[in-house]
Amino acid sequence: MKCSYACNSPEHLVARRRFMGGMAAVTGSVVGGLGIFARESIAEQLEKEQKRILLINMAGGLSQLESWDPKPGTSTGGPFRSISTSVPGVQISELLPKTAQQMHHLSLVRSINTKNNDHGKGTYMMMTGRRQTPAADFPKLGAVAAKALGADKHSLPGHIHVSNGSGARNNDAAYLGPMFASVTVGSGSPPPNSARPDGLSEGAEQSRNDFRRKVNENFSLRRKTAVTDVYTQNYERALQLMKQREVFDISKEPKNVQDQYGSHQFGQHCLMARRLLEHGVTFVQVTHSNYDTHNENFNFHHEQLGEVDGPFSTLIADLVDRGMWDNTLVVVLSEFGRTPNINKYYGRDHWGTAWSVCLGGAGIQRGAVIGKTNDGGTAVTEREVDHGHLFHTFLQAVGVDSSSTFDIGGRPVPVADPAYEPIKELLA
Amino acid sequence: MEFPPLRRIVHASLMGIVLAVPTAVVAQQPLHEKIDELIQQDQFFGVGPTASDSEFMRRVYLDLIGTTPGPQEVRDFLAEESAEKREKLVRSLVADPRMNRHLATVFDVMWIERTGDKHVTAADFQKYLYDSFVADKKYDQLVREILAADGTDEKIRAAARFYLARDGEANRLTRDVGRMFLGMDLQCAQCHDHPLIESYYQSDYYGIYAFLNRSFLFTAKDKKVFYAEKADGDVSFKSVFTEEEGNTGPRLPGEPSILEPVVQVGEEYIVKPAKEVRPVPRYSRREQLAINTAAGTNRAFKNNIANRLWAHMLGQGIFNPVDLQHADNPPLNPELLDLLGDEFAAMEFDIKKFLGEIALSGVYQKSYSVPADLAAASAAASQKLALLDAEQQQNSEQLNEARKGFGAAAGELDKLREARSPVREKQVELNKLLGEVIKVDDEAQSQLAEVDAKVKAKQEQRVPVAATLASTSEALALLPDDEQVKALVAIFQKRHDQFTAELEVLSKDQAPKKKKADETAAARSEKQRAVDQGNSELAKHDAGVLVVDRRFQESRNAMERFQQLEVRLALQKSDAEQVLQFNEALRQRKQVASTVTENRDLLARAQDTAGKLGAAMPGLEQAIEEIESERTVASEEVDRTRPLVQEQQRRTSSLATVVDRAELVRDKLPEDKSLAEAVEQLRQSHQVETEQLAALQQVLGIASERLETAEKRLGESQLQLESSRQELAGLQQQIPQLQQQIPRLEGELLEREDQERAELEKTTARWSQRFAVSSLKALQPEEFAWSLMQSVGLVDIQRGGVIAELDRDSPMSDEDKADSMKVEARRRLVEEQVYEKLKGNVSQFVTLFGAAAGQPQDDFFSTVDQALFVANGGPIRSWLNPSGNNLTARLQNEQDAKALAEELYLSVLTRRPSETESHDVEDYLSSRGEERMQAIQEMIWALLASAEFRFNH
Repeated sequence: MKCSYACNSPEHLVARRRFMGGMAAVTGSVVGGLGIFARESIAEQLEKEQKRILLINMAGGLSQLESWDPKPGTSTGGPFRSISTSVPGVQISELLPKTAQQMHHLSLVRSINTKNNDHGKGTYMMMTGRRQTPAADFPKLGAVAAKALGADKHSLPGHIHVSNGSGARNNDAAYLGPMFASVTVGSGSPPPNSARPDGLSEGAEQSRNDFRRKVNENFSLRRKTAVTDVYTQNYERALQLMKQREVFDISKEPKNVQDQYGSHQFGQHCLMARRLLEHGVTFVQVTHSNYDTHNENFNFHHEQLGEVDGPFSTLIADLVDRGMWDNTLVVVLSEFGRTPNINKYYGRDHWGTAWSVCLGGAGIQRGAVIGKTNDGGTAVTEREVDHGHLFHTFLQAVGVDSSSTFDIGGRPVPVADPAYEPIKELLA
Repeated sequence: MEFPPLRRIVHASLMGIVLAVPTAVVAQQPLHEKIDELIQQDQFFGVGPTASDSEFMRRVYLDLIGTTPGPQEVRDFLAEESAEKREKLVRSLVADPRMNRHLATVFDVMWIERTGDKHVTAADFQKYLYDSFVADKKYDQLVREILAADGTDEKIRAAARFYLARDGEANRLTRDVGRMFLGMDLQCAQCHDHPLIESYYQSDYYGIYAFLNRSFLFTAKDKKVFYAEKADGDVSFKSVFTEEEGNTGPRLPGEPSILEPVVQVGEEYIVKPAKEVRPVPRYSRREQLAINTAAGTNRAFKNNIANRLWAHMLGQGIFNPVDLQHADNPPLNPELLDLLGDEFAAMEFDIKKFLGEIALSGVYQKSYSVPADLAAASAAASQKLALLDAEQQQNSEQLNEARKGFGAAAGELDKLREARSPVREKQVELNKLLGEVIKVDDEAQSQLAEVDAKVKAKQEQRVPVAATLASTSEALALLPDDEQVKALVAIFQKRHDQFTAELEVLSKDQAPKKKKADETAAARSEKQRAVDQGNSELAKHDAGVLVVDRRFQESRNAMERFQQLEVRLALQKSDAEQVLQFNEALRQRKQVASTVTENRDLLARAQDTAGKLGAAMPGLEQAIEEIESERTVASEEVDRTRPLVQEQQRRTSSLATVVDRAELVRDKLPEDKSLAEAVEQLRQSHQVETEQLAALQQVLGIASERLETAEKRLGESQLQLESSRQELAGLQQQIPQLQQQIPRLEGELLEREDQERAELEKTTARWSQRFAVSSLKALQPEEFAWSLMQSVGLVDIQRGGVIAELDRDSPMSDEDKADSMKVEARRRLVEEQVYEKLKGNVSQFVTLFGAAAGQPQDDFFSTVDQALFVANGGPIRSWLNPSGNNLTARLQNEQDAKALAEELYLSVLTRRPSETESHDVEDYLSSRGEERMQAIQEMIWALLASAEFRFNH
């Protein structure tokens, strides 16, 4: 039997394209070789309302006592004072004065007990919401968010780590598949192979792709499947991405914006992150390291957080100003916190027993503080939570039903650990 | 291809119960024919056409040797007219040295899933596999080597990669042994019976786990890592859901726990565990796993590999995913699956032969086009549906019965296991006690032995002293004054006394030690008796358990067969319904399409009529005008004539009266001649007048007639005009309505077409699940890379270079050339060197197109970075530069556009271009004018980047 879509009448083809053009508007992607949004305004609107996540990983283990849960004047408190913030009654460390002024956009969870003091395991737990097991691997938050929020329909990668990277794909999507794995890009480097090669003119690019489309169209007359569609569409997405290379170049930002974010790496990475989020990238991760301060905890935190405070507060204000705050979840986390006990090298050691995370935007309450630790910061005294609760909360904040399941090759797989629930009172 | 005599497989009933009846010699029906017979029962609604030679060739090349053919090979094959040409091709590919490399890749990816180097490198493992396939090692042998591997045998150390790459972790290995060798991912049954899969039990998981949990990674002093094993460690488990506890010995799914040899306490190890010493147990459970699986009798074991190889060839398994067979995800065709498993075992697990047989089957050679005769398919589907309800009813009754039987067996088994459990525990305790007693006894015996040895040594020392003392004493008796002799006697006496004293001390020590040793020996033999007694008691329990365990497994298997059939029937029903649904969508689309056509015709006619009516209107109006003026003229004539007639009538009538009267008078006065004359005159006048009247009346009559005619015509014409006007008005109303309606209908048609397409896609998926049409399968990264390099001409250039080099450096004599072994070896050497030269190009394809390490590698995925790499990446761009005799260069030298198109399509897509495609190539070339080389590169690229190239179909 000849396939019905073998009908080659011009009306049919036009109608097909119209149909596909309509699809493009809905998914925000480009299908069938027509790089036109049939209804620009809807596409833009969707892009704006699309939920996104920015994760800032304070690698090595940020001290909660020098940041979100200071205990000045106690035996464990260290030398720094606490300061008032834009939320009455909420105080944070004096190392974050500018961030303090943005606290009314943010919330704190001060009662995390992950019962773990190992870097690798801690990172795994915070990023996947699960404990590591030998026989099963779980996808990281970025992969889960990219999958749940349909990031594979975009031309830009949906899961990006801003770092000094070559654009290689990482192995962090487990069973969700490599299309949701993270891609590492530096602050000034577009993804590899995204430039039209020398010697290939724009016209030639166009005509070779037209020829490719024709070959595909011929093939699809005999057999058309979802997988062939996905394959051919990715070439269209690639063409779109090639047009969007500037997204990966922060020097295209106005000078004053660049100045606000600062010239050191963390600031540049934050600015890059903002650009990516603005262009619809679903999940961006920025890493600041290294907080593993077994020695000289106080000097290190003074220096490190001095680098963070300016760009981070600028970023929050910027996201708010651009109207992105209600759709963008920002999380600042580590693999664990640091011991209240100060060791003989003026350091603090690994501590998963009572520590904090800062987060805000999207579906998170503004200015809330969840949970408490005791006076010395040595134990959680109220509303103890761990990585599992946080993982659910992150997803719920961007509108993902964390109790639902993914269909992975015909097997239902829970989106997040079914043994946990989100921190409901933290959700707006 | 010659196959050894096969066992005849008798298929009993549709339940898929296979009775394997080995008979001496049986008429040989080739496997591929049996496959086709069995496959037909599932293709109850439509079968696609057979693949063309081109389709077949590309497919079989990719599946058997992992790359596409070169253009000349394609030409030769297409030109060949022999009826057996496909069989010949398969035979030559099975003997092709490239098949070894391809199989090595396939099995490496299957077993290791691209996990990185760990303790054994990926390269070493690949080499192990490659060498194995070159040596024609069979599947069971490979499995035996891999599952028994501990890494100590240097020759096959790489085989330990399966364990070592997974850190030897027992849970991870349980999962992967289950997945890869038994087709069952039991992972979720680790902590409880599988929550979603009814037939995966926690005891299945721990049955495999028990083979592995005694094993561990052992790092030698030189940092080399081995997989070592202890001699103890039983497995018990507890469901986190039900708190139910269980224990199991090692066992394979569907089989009872294995009976293990009783190892004497104290004899557990060949090499005892100690610090920095790799222990070697006398009885290895892991080795037992290798032996039991590779024995090839376990149903799951045979079917798993048969299904995986089938999926490799056909693009999908008889059950999918290939690591998730269970009662609710049954094989589509259990008879076929069992046949494949049994026949693969019967051909001694010869992978190459088996794949070759599949390639010869009709089902493998289906085209990727969908079946042509949908009406027939629908009729068949309806027929099938009519039968299914009764089948389902019958099966559900049988399933209920089987469930009861299973429940009873399970209960009984639980009871026996429960009863056995304390015996086993007691036995473990006794073994431990015996172990302790043995230790004590060994100590006592060794102390006793030590004392005995000392006594013996002393005694032996004393013998010569005593002898010497006796002889010197004799001498002294003879020479009583010899001081020297005296002194000697004294010395010997002293030494003798000393030894005697020492012996006395020693024997004092000896006695209690002897006593102790006797006691411990007695205790030992007492304990040993208890242990032996316990062992025999345990053996009794084991035998009892085994009997019920067998019954349990049998009833479980029976139940699962009905469960499988339940799912299978439901699937058949839904597939049949799907075909009908597609047919219905097709019908609806056609209906809407014909409505659209009707309405379009209607509109065209209306517009036509309206046009004509509109055009006729002025003529009609003019005619009316003319008739009206004619009527006016006639009417005027009538009006003018009628009074004249009346006047004339009056005159005539009065004259008649006068005449009458005059005649009356004349008759009274007959003589009056003048009167008569006058009367005559009067009568003549009357005559004249009467004639005139008649004339006038005639004129009036004519005029009246004309008037009447005109009025009649006018009426008619006006009526006509009016009706035309009405008709036109009607049409003018209808036309915009139609003009509105048609796009709406066209919209509906589009929707219907989409629905039809969606239904077709769904139906095609069902067809391809039933192997009625071929499946599209994405090329594995290696296949993609090698096919690309083949297409652009890189492989042929390298091969040419290698051959030239070899011919120069180590030419073959004529004698060598006549020796098929040597020719074969040379061919292999050539391909090995080509591989070495080009393999560096493959890794970036694997990085981009391969799934993540440790994840299943058979799920297709597509990403933007892949497309960017193909579009702009350096390697492919550089391969498209003209060089030597590569594709770009060949096409550049081809002046005839048609021939160029043919070479292009044959090289990249293994087929000739269609007429249209040939024209497209021609057009492309002419549109790019001077930039001919670029045009050629662009077209090659477009074909390489197409879905047709990316997929095997």
